[in-house]
Amino acid sequence: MSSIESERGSGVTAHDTNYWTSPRNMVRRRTFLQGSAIAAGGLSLALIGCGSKEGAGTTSGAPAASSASGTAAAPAAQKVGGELAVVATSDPPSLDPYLQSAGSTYTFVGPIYSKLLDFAATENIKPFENKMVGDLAASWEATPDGLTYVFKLRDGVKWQNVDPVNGRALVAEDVAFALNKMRTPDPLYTSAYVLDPVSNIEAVDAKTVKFTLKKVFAPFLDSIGHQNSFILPKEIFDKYKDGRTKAAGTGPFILDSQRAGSAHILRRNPDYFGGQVYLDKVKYTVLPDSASQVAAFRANQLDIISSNQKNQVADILKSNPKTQQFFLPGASGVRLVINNARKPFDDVRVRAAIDKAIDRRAMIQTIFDGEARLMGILGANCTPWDIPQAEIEAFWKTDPAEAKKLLDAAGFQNGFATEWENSNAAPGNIPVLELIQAALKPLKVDVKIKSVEYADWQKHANTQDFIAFMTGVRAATDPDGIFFRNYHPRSAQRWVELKNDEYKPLVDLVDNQRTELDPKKRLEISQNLTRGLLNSHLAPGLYDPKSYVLANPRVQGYAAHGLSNHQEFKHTSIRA
Amino acid sequence: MDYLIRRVSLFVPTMLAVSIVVFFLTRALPGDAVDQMLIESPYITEVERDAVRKQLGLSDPLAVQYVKWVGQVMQGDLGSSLFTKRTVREELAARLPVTGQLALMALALSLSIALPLGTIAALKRDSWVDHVARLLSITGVSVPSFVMGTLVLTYLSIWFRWIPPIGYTPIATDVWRNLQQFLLPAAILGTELSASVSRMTRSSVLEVLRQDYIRTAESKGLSRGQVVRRHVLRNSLNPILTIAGLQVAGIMGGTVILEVLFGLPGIGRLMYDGILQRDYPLVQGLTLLAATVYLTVNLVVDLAYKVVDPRIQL
Repeated sequence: MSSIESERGSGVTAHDTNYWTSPRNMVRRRTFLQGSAIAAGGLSLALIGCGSKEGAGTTSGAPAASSASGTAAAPAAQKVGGELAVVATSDPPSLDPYLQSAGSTYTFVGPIYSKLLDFAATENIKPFENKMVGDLAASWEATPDGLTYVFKLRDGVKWQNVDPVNGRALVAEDVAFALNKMRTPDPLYTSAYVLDPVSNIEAVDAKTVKFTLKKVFAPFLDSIGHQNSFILPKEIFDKYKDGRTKAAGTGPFILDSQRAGSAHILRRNPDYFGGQVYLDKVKYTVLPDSASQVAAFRANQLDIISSNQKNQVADILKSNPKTQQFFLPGASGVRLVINNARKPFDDVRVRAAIDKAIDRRAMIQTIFDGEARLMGILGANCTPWDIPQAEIEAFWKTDPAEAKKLLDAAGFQNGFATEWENSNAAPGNIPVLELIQAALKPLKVDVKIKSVEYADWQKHANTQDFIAFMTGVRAATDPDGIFFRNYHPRSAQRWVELKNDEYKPLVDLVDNQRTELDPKKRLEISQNLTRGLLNSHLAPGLYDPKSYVLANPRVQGYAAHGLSNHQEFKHTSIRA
Repeated sequence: MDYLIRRVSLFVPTMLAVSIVVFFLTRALPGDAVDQMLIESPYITEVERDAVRKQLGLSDPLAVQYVKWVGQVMQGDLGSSLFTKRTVREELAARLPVTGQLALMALALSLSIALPLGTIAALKRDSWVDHVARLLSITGVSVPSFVMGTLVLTYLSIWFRWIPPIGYTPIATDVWRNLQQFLLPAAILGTELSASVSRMTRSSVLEVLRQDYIRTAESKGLSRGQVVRRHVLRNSLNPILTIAGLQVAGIMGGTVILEVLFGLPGIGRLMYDGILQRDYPLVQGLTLLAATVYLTVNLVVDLAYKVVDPRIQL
């Protein structure tokens, strides 16, 4: 067996021209994030804490990342005790991450449960580093054919000392049971797809778990660190049938109390295997309204909130100048999905004409005051797998004359009328769509925007009963989360059709990137696929605005990866 | 008593009509609970969606589903949330005290502001007091509670770095904290509601003041205060009662927004979330509850007419 490198993505580094880490693009204290109503509905807790910290306040003595063999060191500067007050925009509808796809479930149970692997969530993690570290796993190996993975568990891991597990030791059988449960072949087990490439999971001995894959699956370790892949105890299923109402894991926090619609509280797990947990409690206050969240933050009733509205952040910093800012690396990118199965958009020249007529730079300047990057196909979290930012910028050249030529060549000299949908849950899209409308008017392309109810929009999208709409880009850390899900004919959420022969090479590339284990070769495939999708003008990106998390000055040691499900709270403390 | 029996017996067909409307309207909404549940499943097929619908009892014809649901309700079972699996009764038991307290406090505040203000405005007609009262009424009617709530929270947080404690503490646990949490939203809702009651009180008192029996009372030597207390107020009350009764519906609507703004876990928030998720049993149960409250309050108001004015034949 060859040893799998402990840092996923090694051999694939972010490009030197990384937009986000380039000093000229790092946000200055007085230049705030661009107002974006595009991420309507606000940034959920899933986003809170991704990325790097900047601006006022320093958080000295950052704990080291939990390594595969050790635990986080407790810096002297951080004190034990205190309650961290964070916001939840809604109640977790269930505590069972296998059954529930709501982000509010993952973010709430994240600190209660552990995974075999997780993304590092410490202050020294750079945006997009996507550094995978052992959580329950002390080490892991794969056979050279990539069909078998063996994980060795850490020593001394105990379940929390609460009903129904009562502090017993974790064994490999627990891990095998949990992940087999997760892939239960029942549509209600909405996370089962994550382990779809797996044919067998078994405990070899008390400390060893073996995964056998149906076929090679390059993003397998990403699946193991996926936001769904928590290890739930067997006792919960034996006693409560499922994990909807009861949570007891091996994570840094224990479920303390819940009052639906009001507050959900976690308390410190004194027996946590990963070292000292500083906070006594984490309180999730349910507060859906963003104005109320800001007011509560100003009044020190919330310690951490997120915002991507420039004026709002500016106002907060004016009234609370010591506020700490954390940079959210994208995760709110937006793309324009055009249904290539519907006329006239089945003609690539028409789609190309639309793309060439749209002035993305003007859009970013007008709506985001320049505080966003041009986006290709992949979201910011997949930057290590993306084409260089300079290439994306070179690709998006606005050229109305060329757009006119393309439309003429496609036989639309007199333009056409088309009706695009917008979900009523995303009213912030409207100004962007109006800019697109205006850009297409000179080409005599008359775009009507129809606002539809969210559930209706969702249904139209999944049944491909639409012409075009704007939507967000998934915050996947592996490009497969976008390539397969959004483009492969087997995905129920592809939204564009790659069934025709002309797209077969692209479908082959989607398949190939799933099975290529060499990171360098996989990067090459990923980049070629990105270029192919861009040139086919299939659901390309528009922009990826900057987003921020604001934290009270008393918060210390806080930093995280976007998909870490609040594992970062184990490093967070409250200043004395 | 005959009247009471007649009115209560009318509850049954009314509730049946409400149940039909709410059941079929919620099912007519685009998308369904299964679409919401399976939103993140990329491999899901239509056959699998149908299997989930079957598991949840959503695959039967609508008429069959309706009859099953009504049968359950008649046995006191409002069903369970499709998402949390908690019974609707449990959800109501947790949320009703919050909305109930907010509604009662708002109504009490509304009446305690509106009745004196409307009466004084009528008695001092066209004076500065009347102008101020009318201005306040028009402002109250014109500024919706979500605007007022947002402004109050924003400015309190900027000027004083203080807002009421977000969330809910039961009154039995901590009276002071509970009052801090409820006073402001109740005052905002109460102020909004007081506007229409105050206007109605003013009109009603003015109307009564023009009556012959008021002149008679004054001419027989009663003081102004005695005339107002004994004759004007009592005779002005019926239209005010009507408006106050109708406001119950306004209170139930108004609490939705204020519960969201102040983080209060009441019925309004539950209803809002239920509609978004297409949680049919929850929405249906809550609508039935709202209809029951509304019918009951209207019955109480009608009975109160007789108490206030014994000349009225029910």
